Amino acid sequence: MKTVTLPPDTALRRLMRRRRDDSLWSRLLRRRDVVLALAVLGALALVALLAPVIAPHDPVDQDLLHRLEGPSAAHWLGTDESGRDVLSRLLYGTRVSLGASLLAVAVAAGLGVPLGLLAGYLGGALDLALSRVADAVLSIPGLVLAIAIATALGPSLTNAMLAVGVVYAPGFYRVVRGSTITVRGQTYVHAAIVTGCSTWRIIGRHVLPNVGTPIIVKVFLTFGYAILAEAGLSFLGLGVQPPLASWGSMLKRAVRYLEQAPALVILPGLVILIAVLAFNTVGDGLRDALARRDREPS
Amino acid sequence: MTPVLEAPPVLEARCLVKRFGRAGRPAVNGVSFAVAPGETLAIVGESGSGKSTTARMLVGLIRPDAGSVLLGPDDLAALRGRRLRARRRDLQMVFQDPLGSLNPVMRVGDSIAEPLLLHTDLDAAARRDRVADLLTRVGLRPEHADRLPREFSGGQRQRIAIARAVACSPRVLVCDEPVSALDVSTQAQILDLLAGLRESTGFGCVFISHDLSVVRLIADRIGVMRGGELVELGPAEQIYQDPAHEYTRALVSAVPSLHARRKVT
Amino acid sequence: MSAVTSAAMSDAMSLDVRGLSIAARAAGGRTVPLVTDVSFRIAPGEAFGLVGESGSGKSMTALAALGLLRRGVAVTAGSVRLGGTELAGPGRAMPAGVRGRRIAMVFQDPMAGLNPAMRVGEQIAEVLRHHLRMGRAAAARRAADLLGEVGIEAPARRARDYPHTFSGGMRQRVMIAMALACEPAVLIADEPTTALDVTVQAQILDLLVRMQDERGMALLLVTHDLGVVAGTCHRLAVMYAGRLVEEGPVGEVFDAPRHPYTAALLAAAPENAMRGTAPKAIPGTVPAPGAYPPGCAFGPRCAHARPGPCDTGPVAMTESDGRRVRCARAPELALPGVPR
Repeated sequence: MKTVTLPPDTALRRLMRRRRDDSLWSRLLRRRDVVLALAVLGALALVALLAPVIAPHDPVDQDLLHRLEGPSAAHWLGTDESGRDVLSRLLYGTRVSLGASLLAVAVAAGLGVPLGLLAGYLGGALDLALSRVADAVLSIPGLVLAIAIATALGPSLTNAMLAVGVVYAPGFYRVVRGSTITVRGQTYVHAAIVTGCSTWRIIGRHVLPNVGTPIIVKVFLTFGYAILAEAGLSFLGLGVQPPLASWGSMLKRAVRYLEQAPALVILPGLVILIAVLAFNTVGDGLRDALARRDREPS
Repeated sequence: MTPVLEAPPVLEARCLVKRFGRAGRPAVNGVSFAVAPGETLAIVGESGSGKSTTARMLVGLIRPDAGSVLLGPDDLAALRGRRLRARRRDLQMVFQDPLGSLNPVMRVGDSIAEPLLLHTDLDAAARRDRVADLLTRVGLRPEHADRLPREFSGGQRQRIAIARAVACSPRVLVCDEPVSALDVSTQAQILDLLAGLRESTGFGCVFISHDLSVVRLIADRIGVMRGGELVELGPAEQIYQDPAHEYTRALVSAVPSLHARRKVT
Repeated sequence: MSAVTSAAMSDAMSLDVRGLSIAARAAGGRTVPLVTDVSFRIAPGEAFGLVGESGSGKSMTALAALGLLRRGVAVTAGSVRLGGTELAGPGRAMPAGVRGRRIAMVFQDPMAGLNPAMRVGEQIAEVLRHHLRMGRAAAARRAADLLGEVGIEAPARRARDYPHTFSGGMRQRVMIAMALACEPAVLIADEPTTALDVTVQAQILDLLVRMQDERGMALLLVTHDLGVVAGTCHRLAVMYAGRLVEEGPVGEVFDAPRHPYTAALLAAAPENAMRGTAPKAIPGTVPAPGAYPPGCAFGPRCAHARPGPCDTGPVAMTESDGRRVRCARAPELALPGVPR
C-alpha cells in the first residue's frame, strides 16, 4: 500500500524523454545557436551595466581636431563627425538601447499580461471589449502608431518607448489570453473553484504559473522587435536626443557621412543586427523546446 | 457509520434542469434526490446521460437553469461570491482525471493545504502538520508534500486529490468517476480508501460512475440516469436484484461476467 | 482446442510470437527492457486474450507485431511470425503489404484511426484499392457491404457520411469493417471496448466474436479487463512487468489460476461485485520499467512470496498439461479462481 514507485507509463515517458532531455533548460542548451545567442545577450547585458567602467572615453567628449578618423590606439573603432570615440558611444548606446527596449517590453507585458489573464479567465463582455481594442491596435501599423504617440507626447526616448510598449501590448494580450483559455478548462482550475478559491487567487496561483512559459518566449521575441523599434524611432529623431547616443541615433547621424566613414554606419548596424538575432534565436529556441515538451505531457 | 436516513439530508437536489445551447433536449431534466448523512448515493449512467452535468451542478461548477441544490439550509444555486465560497467548505469534489486535477506546478503539500488556508485559521505550522496527517491517512508519506504531482502514479495522485477534498472535513463529497481512469488493482485500493474515510468522518457521498460493478459495494442507494433523467432510484440491493426500469435491467445484464465462457467452435 | 483443427493449417497461418524482447533506449545509452522473452502462438479461428495492467508490456507486444513501435523503442530479441513471414525481429522492418492486409488492428479510440475529413466509405474503399488493387466502383460497393456486415443500418447511405456523424460504438464498427476489409489472417484489437459504454461494449464484443467465427481468423485481444476476456477468448496470457506470468485456456485459468498475480487480478476485478463479492485490492503498485525487483517481479506484492525461491534470479516458465506459469511456488500453491 505504501510502496512508492513511479507508474510505468510515466516512468517510461520520462526515461524516453531524458534521452533527449528532461528539463526545458537543458533541452534549450543543447542547441548551439541558442547557447551562442544567450552568450551574446549576457555580454550585451554586462556591457550595458558596466559601460561607464569599461568605456575608454566619455561618449560625449568632442575632439574636433580628430573627426571621422579610422581605428587607432587611442580610438579603437575610430571617431565620429564630432571627434567622439565610437567604441565608447557604442558601449553607452548599448545601455540606452537595451534600457529603452526593456522599458517597452515591460510596458507591453505590464499591460498585456494582466488584461490577457482577465479576458481569458473571465470571458464574456470584458473579453469581447478588450479583444476589440487589441485588434484595433494591431490593425494600425505599429511604427506609425508609435510615431504618432511619440509626436503627440513630444520627442523623448521614454515617450517613444512607452508608445512602442503600447503597440506591442496586444501581442502579449493575445498569447496570455489564449493560454489562459486553455488552462481555464483544466481540471485543476475546476478543483480550485470547488475548493473555494476566489477568482483572484485562481488567476494568481493556478493560472498565471501555468501560462508563464509562453510569456517568457514572448518577452524574448518582443525584446528583439523593441530594439528595432528603438533604432527606427531614434533614426527618425523621435528617440534619444543628442548628445546622448543609442544605436539608432548613431546610425541616423552617420548616414550623412556614409561615403567618408562607412564604418560609422556599419558598426551600429551590425550591433543592432546581432542583438535582434540573439533575442529572436533564444525566443525561437524556447518556443521549440516548449512545443516538444507539450507534445510529451509529463 | 451507517447512514442516518431519517435525519435531514445533508445535500438535496431539487428538480435540476440544464440545457446547453438553445435547441434540443436538456442535458439534465428535472433531477431530484437527497443524500442522508453518511450515505453514499451512486448516480449511474452511460455517456450523455447527464450524470457528470448533474455532478457539476451539485458543486456549482455549472449553474442550473432551474432547480436548487440545498446544502443544509442554503441554496447553493442562488448563492454568489464570498458566501458561496465559504459554503464550499462543506461540499468537496474528487474528479475523474487524477492527472489533471492537481496544479502541475504546485507542490502537493500546498495543494492539500489550500482548503485549510481558505477555510480555517490554522497557521502555517499547523497546516503542515495537518497535511502530513492527511497524507498518512490516504496511504502516502508526509515527506511527499514537497513533491510535484508528476512524480506520482495515477492512483497516488487520486489519493492526493482525496486528501485535498477531505482536508476541511466536508459534509458531502461528490466523486465524479474517481476510479475509472485507474488500473484494476488500484481501483479497489481507492474504493477501500473512500469507504474507510466515509466510515471515519461520516460525510455523505454522491458517487458518479458509468460502471454498476464499481458502485456495487460502496453505494447505499443507486440512481440510474438516462437522457438527462433519473429513471430509477432505489436501495442498491434492489437495483441489482430487482430492477424496475427496463434500462436498468439492460445496464445490469451488460456488465460482463467473469463466469461467461466462449463456446469452442 | 478444437479451433486448432489441422496442424498444417495452423502452422501456415498462425501468429507466432517467439522469445520477443523489446527495449527502450534511455539516458546514457542504457537500454530499458519493456518486454522480455514473450512467447505465444495463436491459431486461425482462435481468440487469445493478452491481459495486464498499464505498463505490463501488453500493448507494446501488440504494436511490435504490427511494426508500430515508436522511435526509441525496438525489438531486441525474438521474432513475430505470421505463417512463414517474419513480421518483427531485431533490426527488421515490417515487410511491405502485410500490415492492413494480412494483419490488421482495431484501436481503443476509433476516432484516432479515422480521418475526420474523409467519408467513411471512401476510407474503407481506399484500403481495398491500395491493398487489393480493386477498381473505384467495386471498392465502393465492397465498402458498403462491409459496413452492412458489421451491423451498420443503411450502409450504402452511411458510407457517404463523415466519421463525426457516428456514435462511439458505430465508429468502432466502422473501424472493424476497415480492419476486416482485406480479410486479414490476424486481427489485433487493443482495448477495443474500453472507451465505450457498457451496453455498447457487449455489442462490439459480440460483433468481434461473430466476425472471427465467420472468417476463421486469429484474434489477439489486448485488454486490462478480465470480464472482457471471459466471454470472448479461448485462451489468455497474463503479463506482468514485461513478462508472461501465466498462459492457458480461459476456463482453466479462471477456475484455478496457477500464478498468484492472476489470482489477485481475478479477485480485484470489479465484476466480482456484481455477485456480492468485494473486489480485493492488490497492495502496492506496478514496478516501473528499469526498476523491476530481482527474482519474481510480482514478489514484493505477492501474498505467497517466500524468501529464497522467489527473490533470487529470474524465475523460469514451466509448462504442464497445456498451461504455462512463471512462479517458483506454483506446484505447491492451490490458488482460488473466480469466486462462485
